[in-house]
Amino acid sequence: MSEGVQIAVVGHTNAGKTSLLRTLTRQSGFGEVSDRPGTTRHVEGIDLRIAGRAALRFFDTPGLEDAVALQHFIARLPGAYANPVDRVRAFLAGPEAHAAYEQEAKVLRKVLEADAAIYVIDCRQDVLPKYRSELELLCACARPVMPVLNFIAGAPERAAAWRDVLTGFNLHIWMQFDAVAPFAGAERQLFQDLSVLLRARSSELQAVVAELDRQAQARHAAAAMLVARLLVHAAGLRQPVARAVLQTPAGREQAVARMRAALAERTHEAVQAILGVYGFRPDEADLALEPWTSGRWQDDLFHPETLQDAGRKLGTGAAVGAAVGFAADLALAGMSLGAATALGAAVGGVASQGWSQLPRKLRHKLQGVEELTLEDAVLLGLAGSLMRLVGALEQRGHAATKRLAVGAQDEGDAALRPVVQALAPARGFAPDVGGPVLAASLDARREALSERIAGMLLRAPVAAA
Amino acid sequence: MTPGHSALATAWLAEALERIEETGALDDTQELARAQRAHTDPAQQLAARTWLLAERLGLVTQLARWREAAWLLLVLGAAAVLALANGLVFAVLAEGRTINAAGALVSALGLHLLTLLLWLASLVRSGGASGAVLSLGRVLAAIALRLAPGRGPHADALAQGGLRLLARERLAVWAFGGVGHVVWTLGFVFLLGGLLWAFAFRAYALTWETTILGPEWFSALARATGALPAWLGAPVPVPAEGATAGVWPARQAAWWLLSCVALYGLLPRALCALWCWLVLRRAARRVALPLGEPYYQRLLARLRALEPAEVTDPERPHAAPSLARGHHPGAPGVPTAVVGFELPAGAEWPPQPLADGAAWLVRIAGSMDEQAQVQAELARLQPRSLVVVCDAQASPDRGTARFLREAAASAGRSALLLGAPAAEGAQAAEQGVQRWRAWVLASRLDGWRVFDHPAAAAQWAAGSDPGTAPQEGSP
Repeated sequence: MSEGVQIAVVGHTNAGKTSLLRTLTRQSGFGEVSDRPGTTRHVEGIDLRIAGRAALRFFDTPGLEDAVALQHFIARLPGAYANPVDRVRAFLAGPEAHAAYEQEAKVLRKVLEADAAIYVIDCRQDVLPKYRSELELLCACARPVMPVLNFIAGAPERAAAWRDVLTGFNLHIWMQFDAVAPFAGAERQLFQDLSVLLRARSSELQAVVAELDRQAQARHAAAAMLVARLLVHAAGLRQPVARAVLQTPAGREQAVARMRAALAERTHEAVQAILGVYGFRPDEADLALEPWTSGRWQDDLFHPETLQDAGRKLGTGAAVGAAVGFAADLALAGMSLGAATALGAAVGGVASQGWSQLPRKLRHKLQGVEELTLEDAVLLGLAGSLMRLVGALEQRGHAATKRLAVGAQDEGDAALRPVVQALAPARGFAPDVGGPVLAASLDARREALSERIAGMLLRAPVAAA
Repeated sequence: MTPGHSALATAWLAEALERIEETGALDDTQELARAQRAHTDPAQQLAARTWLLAERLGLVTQLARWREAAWLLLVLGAAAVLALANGLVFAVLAEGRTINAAGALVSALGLHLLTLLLWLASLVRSGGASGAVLSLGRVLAAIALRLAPGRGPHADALAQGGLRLLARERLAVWAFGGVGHVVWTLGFVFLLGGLLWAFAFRAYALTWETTILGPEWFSALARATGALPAWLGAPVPVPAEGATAGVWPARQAAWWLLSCVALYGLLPRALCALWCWLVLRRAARRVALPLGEPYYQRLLARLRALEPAEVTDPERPHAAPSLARGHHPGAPGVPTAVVGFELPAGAEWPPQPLADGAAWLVRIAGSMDEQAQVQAELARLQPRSLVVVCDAQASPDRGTARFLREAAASAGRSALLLGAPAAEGAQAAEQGVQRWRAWVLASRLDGWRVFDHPAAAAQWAAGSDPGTAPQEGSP
């Protein structure tokens, strides 16, 4: 069969069928989701494609609203039927399938046509007789049924009662899911379990699982690459400022503000790109990423306490930098530190940043120009925030409408310390003024470093926000 | 790949588009949708989008113009070949009828071997990602692009895109090096032709002279360089012993010079040119859009979002069920009946103070039998006021509506009381109540009052209506 596996998604009205499908197909625009009961009133099909071929076809069905009466009606249909399926077919052929039970008839018709059904359960609800009737009706269709316990995060204790009921209906394989906040691997598990239920279509479903894994990895790698390129750019960010200007508080403030604005603009671009990679609409960004777009995160990122804290973790003397927001490049500067420290820093800086820096630094030194660069602590904060954003987006269902808050202050950033240390060579790269930051660089060294950083980011364990 | 479009051209245009989009987003909604409809495979869809956009922006025309201007590159290459061959011939035949054979060999092959080594070094160092900035091929290509007529608005982006494509596919060394190799190959062909012509029809004295080297150095040079030609049958000249200058055996020395230029100059360059061409041809066939790049992942996500949903069983609106009221205003029975319908286990039951004034109090989970019993009892009791208590957190459905309609037929007036478990937040409870209110209106449950507090419902049941608006029952 070249049609692809057909799966009907059914459930009580407002149980979250469309939300589940949005999450499974990664389309936040699919169908209509609202609190209103019976939002979906028609059957809608959507494909999950592998290399252009529809491997899986989901059908979003209207909610079952009056299963109690329908079950009663079907049980009383006059005539003799060999099995429950014939009874359901007789109902579908009758007039009530287009009158009182039109909505339910659509659901049952689709279940009979499909290879399997996913029964979505809002497990915040008690197991009421109406749900039992729904299960009776579904089981009467004699199709494999995969119950999905939705909204599991809201009511873990009721899930146990639901599982007992499902077992009573001979439904031994079920799935716990939260369409709004899906947990890692849930999607994969769902298709694995379906392939157990549908032994004959197992290879097709395994192909879906493999494809989903591949897509998830590609998304993750692309997001990490974006973060890595932004970090490489940020590490190489330099702003020459006349020493005289730096010595006045107002001048220093202004220089810091300019630097901040430059970083903020690039970071905003990166956030938009990351959102795009995960298939979230840019217009969702304002809603979903308020702290990122309002500019509040910048304050977090440059907050002296954040810097000091991160500096402690890094083991660098960020205390000086913390007061300013970033450290004046210590190499050949040594404004507030002793000569010996400055010398040491100069040697260390040159050694870690490459000798190509030296001529420019000497020139600046002669001209009385200081260079502002981003403190390691800022890079750490930036890396941590962005990777937490990535983590949060991985976990975020495409049905979620709540705002996503990712702050700069978090304990988990320590794991990214090696990343920031590995960024040292980027400080020596030629500044990419106005050039593309998020695209592959023509400079092979820069690109290789970005790739290395991306690899480290992928391996670093960062907790989702 | 889209038929008629080469993979290389697609990759080049895509790379140029990426450059253009770095300066600001393109409005590609239409193109993306068209590409999505035209193909099912994501890679093909992206290729189609590339061509549609490139067509609109004039990139395709620009590319075609450059293809037409390819003769420019040929002319430049020919000029380079002529200059090179001229230089080589001049280096060999500069001094009239005497040729300093060893000096001629070094000047003919020296620069060539040096640049060849540099090319090999860049091949090893960068793996082909970027060629030497000053390679002959790159300079020629840059000049040709600069001189080509008809520069469109996006010519720079297209040129940059080409460079990036070469860098990404690690082909820069091969492409630019290939041009250089061809130029050198032709240069050596001209040199060999010139030398053959000169040696065939003119008498030359092939000499050797030195200030600091001994004659044995020259015989060693001749033996070492002549080993390979000798293996192929060319003679190896031997200089006279003991002198610091002298004459080579002319015929032998001429053949040695020719065979060395052919074997160490022409052959490696020709082989390298062939190698470059083979690598480029293979690469041109397997080049594909780098779908793993963030830029393409974003496009893929957008393409996926365009995946159409198909309505297979449309909604057919029909009249809401109506039920004749079986209730007779003249024959009221008990004052108040309270029915709990599909309430969760944790719900407060009975709801105070409503329960105090109730003549009949019952709670059902909602099975068909229970519903039938309650309806029968209601029909018997004919309550003046009926209060049905439902869970505000549950989703209202048609089953509930059917129960309410049937129950209302037996009662004088009816109200819905929405109970919310204390555990839920106030906001969630309020949302639930709003949902039920909207649903009562939408389901045309006319005459039903909605309360969200038992006290208000009790007051209403006792006869004094706390609310004024038809559906607003909260105190």
